[in-house]
Amino acid sequence: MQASDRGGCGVKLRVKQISLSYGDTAIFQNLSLSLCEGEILGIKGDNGSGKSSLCLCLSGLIGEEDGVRLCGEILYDGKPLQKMSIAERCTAVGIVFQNPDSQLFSPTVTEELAFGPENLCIPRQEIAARIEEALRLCGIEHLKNAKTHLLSGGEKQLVAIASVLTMHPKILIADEITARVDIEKKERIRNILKSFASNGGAVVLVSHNSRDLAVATKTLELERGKDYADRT
Amino acid sequence: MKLDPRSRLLLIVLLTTLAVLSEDVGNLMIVAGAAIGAGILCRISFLDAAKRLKHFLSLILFIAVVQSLTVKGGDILVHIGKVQLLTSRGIGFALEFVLRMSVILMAGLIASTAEGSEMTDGLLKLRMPYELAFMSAIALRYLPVFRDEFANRIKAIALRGIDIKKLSLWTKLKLYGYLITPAILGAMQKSEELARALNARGFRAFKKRTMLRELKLSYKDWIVMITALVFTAVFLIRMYTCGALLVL
Repeated sequence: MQASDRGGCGVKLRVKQISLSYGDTAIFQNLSLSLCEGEILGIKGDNGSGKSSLCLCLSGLIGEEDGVRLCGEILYDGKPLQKMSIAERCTAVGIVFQNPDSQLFSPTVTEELAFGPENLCIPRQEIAARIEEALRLCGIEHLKNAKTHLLSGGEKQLVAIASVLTMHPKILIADEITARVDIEKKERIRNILKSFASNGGAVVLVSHNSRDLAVATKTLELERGKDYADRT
Repeated sequence: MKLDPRSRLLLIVLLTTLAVLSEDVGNLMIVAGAAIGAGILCRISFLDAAKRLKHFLSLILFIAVVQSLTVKGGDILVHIGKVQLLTSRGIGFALEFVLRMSVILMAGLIASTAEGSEMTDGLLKLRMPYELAFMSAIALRYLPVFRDEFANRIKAIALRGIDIKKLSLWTKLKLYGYLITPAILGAMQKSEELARALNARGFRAFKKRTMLRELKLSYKDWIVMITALVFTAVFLIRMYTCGALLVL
Protein backbone atom coordinates (compact mmCIF):
# COMPACT_ATOMS: atom_id res chain seq x y z
CA MET A 1 0.00 0.00 0.00
CA GLN A 2 -0.18 2.85 1.12
CA ALA A 3 -3.33 4.84 1.13
CA SER A 4 -2.10 8.36 0.72
CA ASP A 5 -4.22 11.48 0.84
CA ARG A 6 -5.33 12.71 -2.51
CA GLY A 7 -5.56 16.43 -2.86
CA GLY A 8 -9.11 17.60 -3.12
CA CYS A 9 -10.81 14.35 -2.20
CA GLY A 10 -13.14 14.45 0.78
CA VAL A 11 -11.15 12.43 3.29
CA LYS A 12 -13.67 10.34 5.21
CA LEU A 13 -11.27 8.28 7.26
CA ARG A 14 -7.76 9.03 8.39
CA VAL A 15 -5.75 6.59 10.44
CA LYS A 16 -2.61 7.96 12.07
CA GLN A 17 0.11 5.59 13.24
CA ILE A 18 -2.06 3.01 14.92
CA SER A 19 -0.50 0.03 16.64
CA LEU A 20 -2.39 -2.94 18.02
CA SER A 21 -1.14 -5.66 20.32
CA TYR A 22 -2.69 -8.51 22.27
CA GLY A 23 -0.58 -8.61 25.44
CA ASP A 24 3.03 -8.69 24.25
CA THR A 25 2.12 -9.84 20.74
CA ALA A 26 2.10 -7.02 18.23
CA ILE A 27 -0.47 -7.44 15.47
CA PHE A 28 0.54 -4.36 13.48
CA GLN A 29 2.48 -1.20 14.27
CA ASN A 30 2.40 2.39 13.09
CA LEU A 31 -0.17 1.80 10.41
CA SER A 32 -1.43 4.92 8.64
CA LEU A 33 -3.99 5.21 5.91
CA SER A 34 -6.68 7.44 4.58
CA LEU A 35 -9.85 6.82 2.69
CA CYS A 36 -11.68 9.30 0.52
CA GLU A 37 -15.23 9.53 -0.72
CA GLY A 38 -15.88 6.97 -3.46
CA GLU A 39 -12.87 4.82 -2.61
CA ILE A 40 -12.80 1.14 -1.83
CA LEU A 41 -9.83 -0.02 0.22
CA GLY A 42 -9.14 -3.71 -0.23
CA ILE A 43 -7.34 -5.40 2.65
CA LYS A 44 -5.70 -8.78 2.23
CA GLY A 45 -3.33 -10.88 4.26
CA ASP A 46 -2.77 -14.31 5.73
CA ASN A 47 -4.85 -15.72 8.55
CA GLY A 48 -3.85 -14.02 11.80
CA SER A 49 -2.37 -11.01 10.03
CA GLY A 50 -4.80 -8.70 11.85
CA LYS A 51 -7.39 -7.96 9.15
CA SER A 52 -10.40 -8.53 11.39
CA SER A 53 -8.67 -6.80 14.29
CA LEU A 54 -8.07 -3.76 12.08
CA CYS A 55 -11.76 -3.78 11.12
CA LEU A 56 -12.73 -3.85 14.79
CA CYS A 57 -10.30 -0.99 15.51
CA LEU A 58 -11.73 1.11 12.67
CA SER A 59 -15.26 0.51 13.89
CA GLY A 60 -14.42 1.31 17.52
CA LEU A 61 -15.52 -2.11 18.72
CA ILE A 62 -12.29 -3.17 20.35
CA GLY A 63 -10.62 -1.71 23.39
CA GLU A 64 -8.70 -2.39 26.55
CA GLU A 65 -11.57 -4.42 27.97
CA ASP A 66 -10.89 -6.94 25.20
CA GLY A 67 -7.32 -7.37 26.37
CA VAL A 68 -5.74 -5.32 23.59
CA ARG A 69 -3.54 -2.24 23.51
CA LEU A 70 -4.40 0.24 20.81
CA CYS A 71 -2.28 3.33 20.17
CA GLY A 72 -2.63 6.00 17.52
CA GLU A 73 -5.52 7.99 16.18
CA ILE A 74 -8.53 7.17 14.01
CA LEU A 75 -10.41 10.15 12.60
CA TYR A 76 -13.73 10.20 10.78
CA ASP A 77 -14.35 13.50 9.00
CA GLY A 78 -11.61 14.92 11.24
CA LYS A 79 -13.24 13.81 14.48
CA PRO A 80 -11.43 11.26 16.69
CA LEU A 81 -13.28 7.95 16.94
CA GLN A 82 -12.58 7.73 20.67
CA LYS A 83 -14.41 11.01 21.29
CA MET A 84 -17.51 10.05 19.34
CA SER A 85 -20.80 9.13 21.00
CA ILE A 86 -22.35 5.77 20.08
CA ALA A 87 -24.78 7.47 17.70
CA GLU A 88 -22.02 9.49 16.01
CA ARG A 89 -19.88 6.38 15.62
CA CYS A 90 -22.74 4.37 14.12
CA THR A 91 -23.48 7.02 11.53
CA ALA A 92 -19.79 7.43 10.71
CA VAL A 93 -18.98 3.76 10.25
CA GLY A 94 -20.94 0.56 9.76
CA ILE A 95 -19.49 -2.92 9.89
CA VAL A 96 -20.65 -6.23 8.46
CA PHE A 97 -19.01 -9.41 9.75
CA GLN A 98 -18.22 -12.71 8.11
CA ASN A 99 -20.78 -14.78 10.01
CA PRO A 100 -24.31 -13.46 9.44
CA ASP A 101 -25.73 -15.75 12.14
CA SER A 102 -24.12 -13.73 14.89
CA GLN A 103 -25.31 -10.42 13.42
CA LEU A 104 -29.00 -11.09 13.12
CA PHE A 105 -30.93 -11.02 16.34
CA SER A 106 -34.45 -10.01 15.37
CA PRO A 107 -37.14 -12.52 14.45
CA THR A 108 -38.09 -10.87 11.15
CA VAL A 109 -36.18 -9.07 8.39
CA THR A 110 -38.13 -5.82 8.82
CA GLU A 111 -37.41 -5.77 12.56
CA GLU A 112 -33.76 -6.54 11.89
CA LEU A 113 -33.48 -3.61 9.51
CA ALA A 114 -35.36 -1.32 11.89
CA PHE A 115 -33.17 -2.18 14.90
CA GLY A 116 -30.32 0.26 14.15
CA PRO A 117 -32.44 3.30 13.22
CA GLU A 118 -34.69 2.63 16.23
CA ASN A 119 -31.63 2.81 18.47
CA LEU A 120 -30.69 6.11 16.83
CA CYS A 121 -34.17 7.51 17.56
CA ILE A 122 -34.98 8.02 13.89
CA PRO A 123 -38.69 8.89 13.37
CA ARG A 124 -40.98 5.98 12.43
CA GLN A 125 -41.75 7.18 8.89
CA GLU A 126 -38.09 7.64 8.09
CA ILE A 127 -37.24 4.19 9.43
CA ALA A 128 -39.84 2.70 7.09
CA ALA A 129 -38.37 4.65 4.16
CA ARG A 130 -34.83 3.56 5.03
CA ILE A 131 -35.93 -0.08 5.21
CA GLU A 132 -37.48 0.11 1.75
CA GLU A 133 -34.34 1.78 0.39
CA ALA A 134 -31.97 -0.79 1.93
CA LEU A 135 -34.11 -3.70 0.74
CA ARG A 136 -34.05 -2.27 -2.79
CA LEU A 137 -30.30 -1.62 -2.74
CA CYS A 138 -29.64 -5.21 -1.68
CA GLY A 139 -32.29 -6.67 -4.00
CA ILE A 140 -34.15 -8.42 -1.21
CA GLU A 141 -37.54 -6.70 -1.31
CA HIS A 142 -39.18 -10.14 -1.41
CA LEU A 143 -37.67 -10.98 2.01
CA LYS A 144 -39.24 -8.00 3.77
CA ASN A 145 -41.59 -10.07 5.93
CA ALA A 146 -39.44 -13.20 6.09
CA LYS A 147 -38.29 -14.78 9.34
CA THR A 148 -34.53 -14.36 9.73
CA HIS A 149 -33.89 -17.90 11.02
CA LEU A 150 -35.44 -19.38 7.87
CA LEU A 151 -33.14 -17.54 5.43
CA SER A 152 -30.24 -19.13 3.57
CA GLY A 153 -26.67 -18.11 4.44
CA GLY A 154 -26.44 -15.77 1.43
CA GLU A 155 -29.78 -14.17 2.17
CA LYS A 156 -28.78 -13.68 5.80
CA GLN A 157 -25.61 -11.90 4.68
CA LEU A 158 -27.61 -9.59 2.39
CA VAL A 159 -29.96 -8.84 5.28
CA ALA A 160 -26.94 -8.11 7.50
CA ILE A 161 -25.64 -5.65 4.90
CA ALA A 162 -29.08 -4.04 4.53
CA SER A 163 -29.39 -3.73 8.31
CA VAL A 164 -26.17 -1.70 8.40
CA LEU A 165 -27.19 0.40 5.40
CA THR A 166 -30.37 1.52 7.19
CA MET A 167 -28.13 3.40 9.61
CA HIS A 168 -26.73 5.48 6.73
CA PRO A 169 -23.05 5.11 7.62
CA LYS A 170 -20.51 7.14 5.69
CA ILE A 171 -18.01 4.28 5.65
CA LEU A 172 -18.84 0.62 5.34
CA ILE A 173 -16.44 -2.00 6.64
CA ALA A 174 -16.94 -5.44 5.12
CA ASP A 175 -15.00 -8.15 6.93
CA GLU A 176 -14.86 -11.16 4.58
CA ILE A 177 -18.56 -10.87 3.91
CA THR A 178 -18.47 -12.91 0.71
CA ALA A 179 -16.72 -15.88 2.33
CA ARG A 180 -19.89 -17.90 2.99
CA VAL A 181 -22.07 -17.02 0.02
CA ASP A 182 -22.56 -18.45 -3.47
CA ILE A 183 -21.08 -16.95 -6.66
CA GLU A 184 -24.24 -15.09 -7.67
CA LYS A 185 -24.54 -13.44 -4.27
CA LYS A 186 -20.81 -12.65 -4.16
CA GLU A 187 -21.32 -10.66 -7.35
CA ARG A 188 -24.39 -8.96 -5.93
CA ILE A 189 -22.51 -8.01 -2.77
CA ARG A 190 -19.64 -6.57 -4.84
CA ASN A 191 -22.18 -4.46 -6.74
CA ILE A 192 -23.73 -3.24 -3.48
CA LEU A 193 -20.30 -2.16 -2.23
CA LYS A 194 -19.47 -0.41 -5.52
CA SER A 195 -22.83 1.33 -5.49
CA PHE A 196 -22.32 2.41 -1.86
CA ALA A 197 -18.92 3.93 -2.71
CA SER A 198 -20.13 5.64 -5.87
CA ASN A 199 -22.97 7.28 -3.94
CA GLY A 200 -20.68 9.28 -1.70
CA GLY A 201 -19.57 6.58 0.71
CA ALA A 202 -16.30 4.72 1.15
CA VAL A 203 -15.67 1.03 1.74
CA VAL A 204 -13.06 -1.00 3.60
CA LEU A 205 -13.22 -4.48 2.13
CA VAL A 206 -11.39 -7.42 3.70
CA SER A 207 -11.19 -10.49 1.53
CA HIS A 208 -9.05 -13.39 0.35
CA ASN A 209 -10.94 -13.46 -2.92
CA SER A 210 -9.13 -11.82 -5.86
CA ARG A 211 -12.44 -11.01 -7.57
CA ASP A 212 -13.58 -9.13 -4.49
CA LEU A 213 -10.32 -7.24 -4.31
CA ALA A 214 -10.63 -6.34 -7.99
CA VAL A 215 -13.35 -3.82 -7.07
CA ALA A 216 -10.94 -2.03 -4.70
CA THR A 217 -9.48 1.30 -5.78
CA LYS A 218 -6.45 0.64 -3.57
CA THR A 219 -5.19 -2.26 -1.53
CA LEU A 220 -3.33 -2.89 1.68
CA GLU A 221 -1.58 -6.14 2.49
CA LEU A 222 -1.25 -6.87 6.17
CA GLU A 223 1.50 -8.97 7.72
CA ARG A 224 1.43 -10.12 11.30
CA GLY A 225 3.53 -7.93 13.60
CA LYS A 226 4.78 -5.69 10.81
CA ASP A 227 5.91 -2.13 11.51
CA TYR A 228 4.56 0.22 8.83
CA ALA A 229 6.38 3.30 10.15
CA ASP A 230 8.51 3.75 7.02
CA ARG A 231 5.58 3.38 4.61
CA THR A 232 3.78 6.39 3.22
CA MET B 1 -58.79 -12.31 18.01
CA LYS B 2 -55.56 -10.35 17.58
CA LEU B 3 -54.72 -9.01 20.99
CA ASP B 4 -52.16 -6.37 21.85
CA PRO B 5 -49.05 -7.89 23.49
CA ARG B 6 -49.84 -5.99 26.68
CA SER B 7 -53.22 -7.75 26.96
CA ARG B 8 -51.50 -11.07 26.40
CA LEU B 9 -48.84 -10.27 28.98
CA LEU B 10 -51.58 -9.44 31.50
CA LEU B 11 -53.36 -12.73 30.76
CA ILE B 12 -50.08 -14.62 31.23
CA VAL B 13 -49.29 -12.93 34.56
CA LEU B 14 -52.81 -13.38 35.94
CA LEU B 15 -53.19 -17.01 34.86
CA THR B 16 -49.82 -18.11 36.21
CA THR B 17 -50.41 -16.22 39.47
CA LEU B 18 -53.78 -17.90 39.97
CA ALA B 19 -52.33 -21.29 39.08
CA VAL B 20 -49.62 -20.92 41.71
CA LEU B 21 -51.94 -19.53 44.41
CA SER B 22 -54.80 -22.01 43.94
CA GLU B 23 -54.62 -25.00 46.21
CA ASP B 24 -57.54 -27.31 45.59
CA VAL B 25 -58.60 -29.18 42.47
CA GLY B 26 -61.90 -27.31 42.13
CA ASN B 27 -60.26 -23.89 41.98
CA LEU B 28 -57.54 -25.13 39.67
CA MET B 29 -60.20 -26.50 37.32
CA ILE B 30 -61.77 -23.04 37.13
CA VAL B 31 -58.36 -21.48 36.41
CA ALA B 32 -57.64 -24.14 33.79
CA GLY B 33 -61.03 -23.38 32.20
CA ALA B 34 -60.14 -19.68 32.13
CA ALA B 35 -56.76 -20.55 30.60
CA ILE B 36 -58.45 -22.54 27.84
CA GLY B 37 -60.76 -19.56 27.23
CA ALA B 38 -57.74 -17.26 27.00
CA GLY B 39 -56.09 -19.73 24.61
CA ILE B 40 -59.15 -19.69 22.36
CA LEU B 41 -59.15 -15.87 22.46
CA CYS B 42 -55.52 -15.87 21.34
CA ARG B 43 -56.30 -18.34 18.52
CA ILE B 44 -54.10 -21.14 19.82
CA SER B 45 -54.37 -24.35 17.85
CA PHE B 46 -54.62 -26.93 20.62
CA LEU B 47 -53.91 -29.85 18.29
CA ASP B 48 -50.68 -28.29 17.01
CA ALA B 49 -49.70 -27.34 20.55
CA ALA B 50 -50.26 -30.94 21.75
CA LYS B 51 -48.03 -32.21 18.92
CA ARG B 52 -45.32 -29.69 19.71
CA LEU B 53 -45.39 -30.39 23.42
CA LYS B 54 -45.92 -34.15 23.31
CA HIS B 55 -42.66 -34.94 25.12
CA PHE B 56 -43.39 -32.38 27.79
CA LEU B 57 -46.95 -33.67 28.20
CA SER B 58 -45.63 -37.22 28.59
CA LEU B 59 -43.27 -35.99 31.29
CA ILE B 60 -46.13 -34.25 33.13
CA LEU B 61 -48.23 -37.43 32.98
CA PHE B 62 -45.31 -39.51 34.22
CA ILE B 63 -44.74 -37.20 37.19
CA ALA B 64 -48.49 -37.24 37.92
CA VAL B 65 -48.53 -41.04 37.97
CA VAL B 66 -45.49 -41.12 40.26
CA GLN B 67 -47.13 -38.57 42.57
CA SER B 68 -50.40 -40.46 42.71
CA LEU B 69 -48.53 -43.64 43.65
CA THR B 70 -46.17 -42.12 46.20
CA VAL B 71 -48.32 -39.56 48.05
CA LYS B 72 -50.29 -41.30 50.80
CA GLY B 73 -53.28 -40.13 52.81
CA GLY B 74 -57.05 -39.91 52.66
CA ASP B 75 -59.14 -42.86 51.51
CA ILE B 76 -57.35 -45.95 50.27
CA LEU B 77 -58.59 -46.67 46.77
CA VAL B 78 -56.26 -49.51 45.72
CA HIS B 79 -54.11 -51.69 47.95
CA ILE B 80 -52.23 -54.98 47.87
CA GLY B 81 -52.34 -56.45 51.35
CA LYS B 82 -51.10 -53.76 53.67
CA VAL B 83 -49.37 -51.79 50.87
CA GLN B 84 -51.35 -48.73 49.80
CA LEU B 85 -51.06 -48.21 46.05
CA LEU B 86 -53.52 -45.44 45.35
CA THR B 87 -55.05 -43.00 47.81
CA SER B 88 -57.49 -40.14 47.36
CA ARG B 89 -54.80 -37.67 48.50
CA GLY B 90 -52.36 -39.03 45.94
CA ILE B 91 -54.92 -38.69 43.15
CA GLY B 92 -55.70 -35.13 44.33
CA PHE B 93 -52.01 -34.19 44.30
CA ALA B 94 -51.55 -35.59 40.80
CA LEU B 95 -54.64 -33.76 39.51
CA GLU B 96 -53.47 -30.48 41.06
CA PHE B 97 -50.08 -30.91 39.44
CA VAL B 98 -51.55 -31.66 36.00
CA LEU B 99 -53.98 -28.73 36.16
CA ARG B 100 -51.33 -26.29 37.41
CA MET B 101 -48.88 -27.33 34.72
CA SER B 102 -51.62 -27.10 32.06
CA VAL B 103 -52.29 -23.48 33.02
CA ILE B 104 -48.57 -22.67 32.94
CA LEU B 105 -48.21 -24.37 29.55
CA MET B 106 -51.19 -22.41 28.24
CA ALA B 107 -49.54 -19.20 29.45
CA GLY B 108 -46.42 -20.21 27.52
CA LEU B 109 -48.50 -20.90 24.42
CA ILE B 110 -50.12 -17.47 24.71
CA ALA B 111 -46.63 -15.93 24.89
CA SER B 112 -45.60 -17.89 21.80
CA THR B 113 -48.40 -16.32 19.72
CA ALA B 114 -46.37 -13.09 19.62
CA GLU B 115 -45.16 -12.17 16.16
CA GLY B 116 -41.56 -11.04 15.96
CA SER B 117 -40.53 -8.88 18.86
CA GLU B 118 -44.08 -7.91 19.83
CA MET B 119 -43.56 -9.02 23.41
CA THR B 120 -40.41 -6.89 23.73
CA ASP B 121 -42.36 -3.90 22.44
CA GLY B 122 -45.18 -4.72 24.84
CA LEU B 123 -42.78 -4.86 27.79
CA LEU B 124 -41.27 -1.53 26.70
CA LYS B 125 -44.71 0.04 26.60
CA LEU B 126 -45.19 -1.22 30.14
CA ARG B 127 -42.09 0.83 31.00
CA MET B 128 -39.70 -2.07 31.44
CA PRO B 129 -36.12 -0.89 30.78
CA TYR B 130 -35.14 -1.70 27.19
CA GLU B 131 -32.04 -3.66 28.22
CA LEU B 132 -34.13 -6.03 30.33
CA ALA B 133 -36.85 -6.51 27.72
CA PHE B 134 -34.28 -7.08 24.99
CA MET B 135 -32.25 -9.43 27.17
CA SER B 136 -35.24 -11.70 27.77
CA ALA B 137 -35.96 -11.80 24.03
CA ILE B 138 -32.36 -12.50 23.13
CA ALA B 139 -32.12 -15.25 25.76
CA LEU B 140 -34.98 -17.07 24.04
CA ARG B 141 -33.28 -16.48 20.68
CA TYR B 142 -30.11 -18.13 22.00
CA LEU B 143 -31.71 -21.32 23.31
CA PRO B 144 -31.74 -22.94 19.83
CA VAL B 145 -28.17 -21.69 19.25
CA PHE B 146 -27.00 -23.48 22.37
CA ARG B 147 -28.96 -26.60 21.40
CA ASP B 148 -27.38 -26.58 17.90
CA GLU B 149 -23.94 -26.09 19.39
CA PHE B 150 -24.43 -29.18 21.53
CA ALA B 151 -25.96 -31.20 18.67
CA ASN B 152 -23.05 -30.35 16.36
CA ARG B 153 -20.55 -31.61 18.91
CA ILE B 154 -22.47 -34.85 19.36
CA LYS B 155 -22.41 -35.26 15.55
CA ALA B 156 -18.65 -34.62 15.56
CA ILE B 157 -18.22 -37.44 18.07
CA ALA B 158 -20.47 -39.75 16.03
CA LEU B 159 -18.37 -38.99 12.93
CA ARG B 160 -15.32 -40.31 14.77
CA GLY B 161 -16.95 -43.71 14.93
CA ILE B 162 -18.56 -43.61 18.36
CA ASP B 163 -22.13 -44.85 18.44
CA ILE B 164 -23.57 -42.86 21.33
CA LYS B 165 -26.73 -44.96 21.44
CA LYS B 166 -24.71 -48.08 22.26
CA LEU B 167 -22.83 -46.51 25.17
CA SER B 168 -23.74 -47.33 28.75
CA LEU B 169 -25.54 -44.67 30.76
CA TRP B 170 -22.42 -43.94 32.84
CA THR B 171 -20.21 -43.52 29.73
CA LYS B 172 -22.87 -41.35 28.12
CA LEU B 173 -22.95 -39.09 31.17
CA LYS B 174 -19.16 -38.82 31.12
CA LEU B 175 -19.27 -37.98 27.43
CA TYR B 176 -21.85 -35.24 27.96
CA GLY B 177 -19.58 -33.87 30.68
CA TYR B 178 -16.80 -33.51 28.12
CA LEU B 179 -19.19 -31.84 25.67
CA ILE B 180 -20.57 -29.21 27.98
CA THR B 181 -17.36 -27.16 28.31
CA PRO B 182 -16.71 -26.68 24.55
CA ALA B 183 -20.44 -26.13 23.94
CA ILE B 184 -20.51 -23.37 26.55
CA LEU B 185 -17.30 -21.85 25.17
CA GLY B 186 -18.76 -21.90 21.64
CA ALA B 187 -21.96 -20.26 22.86
CA MET B 188 -19.90 -17.64 24.72
CA GLN B 189 -17.95 -16.84 21.56
CA LYS B 190 -21.21 -16.45 19.67
CA SER B 191 -22.57 -14.16 22.37
CA GLU B 192 -19.40 -12.06 22.15
CA GLU B 193 -19.90 -11.70 18.40
CA LEU B 194 -23.52 -10.80 19.02
CA ALA B 195 -22.49 -8.14 21.55
CA ARG B 196 -20.17 -6.60 18.94
CA ALA B 197 -22.95 -6.62 16.35
CA LEU B 198 -25.27 -4.94 18.87
CA ASN B 199 -22.70 -2.26 19.64
CA ALA B 200 -22.14 -1.69 15.93
CA ARG B 201 -25.87 -1.09 15.51
CA GLY B 202 -26.17 1.60 18.14
CA PHE B 203 -27.49 -0.45 21.04
CA ARG B 204 -28.03 1.91 24.01
CA ALA B 205 -27.06 4.93 21.92
CA PHE B 206 -29.75 6.89 23.73
CA LYS B 207 -31.82 6.27 26.84
CA LYS B 208 -34.96 6.07 24.73
CA ARG B 209 -35.53 4.65 21.27
CA THR B 210 -38.19 4.88 18.64
CA MET B 211 -40.26 1.86 17.61
CA LEU B 212 -41.24 0.99 14.08
CA ARG B 213 -44.30 -0.91 15.27
CA GLU B 214 -46.99 1.22 16.83
CA LEU B 215 -48.88 -0.57 19.58
CA LYS B 216 -52.45 0.51 20.17
CA LEU B 217 -54.93 -0.92 22.63
CA SER B 218 -58.26 -1.58 20.92
CA TYR B 219 -61.63 -1.79 22.69
CA LYS B 220 -61.28 -5.60 22.53
CA ASP B 221 -58.05 -5.36 24.51
CA TRP B 222 -59.72 -3.21 27.14
CA ILE B 223 -62.63 -5.67 27.43
CA VAL B 224 -60.21 -8.62 27.79
CA MET B 225 -58.02 -6.83 30.33
CA ILE B 226 -60.91 -5.56 32.48
CA THR B 227 -62.63 -8.97 32.39
CA ALA B 228 -59.37 -10.71 33.34
CA LEU B 229 -58.72 -8.32 36.22
CA VAL B 230 -62.28 -8.57 37.56
CA PHE B 231 -62.17 -12.37 37.27
CA THR B 232 -58.87 -12.49 39.16
CA ALA B 233 -60.07 -10.15 41.89
CA VAL B 234 -63.33 -12.08 42.43
CA PHE B 235 -61.47 -15.38 42.36
CA LEU B 236 -58.87 -14.27 44.91
CA ILE B 237 -61.51 -12.80 47.25
CA ARG B 238 -63.54 -16.02 46.99
CA MET B 239 -60.47 -18.15 47.75
CA TYR B 240 -59.49 -15.88 50.65
CA THR B 241 -62.94 -16.06 52.24
CA CYS B 242 -62.98 -19.85 51.80
CA GLY B 243 -59.44 -20.14 53.22
CA ALA B 244 -58.27 -21.83 50.02
CA LEU B 245 -55.53 -19.38 49.21
CA LEU B 246 -52.13 -21.06 49.17
CA VAL B 247 -50.19 -17.96 50.23
CA LEU B 248 -51.29 -14.89 52.30
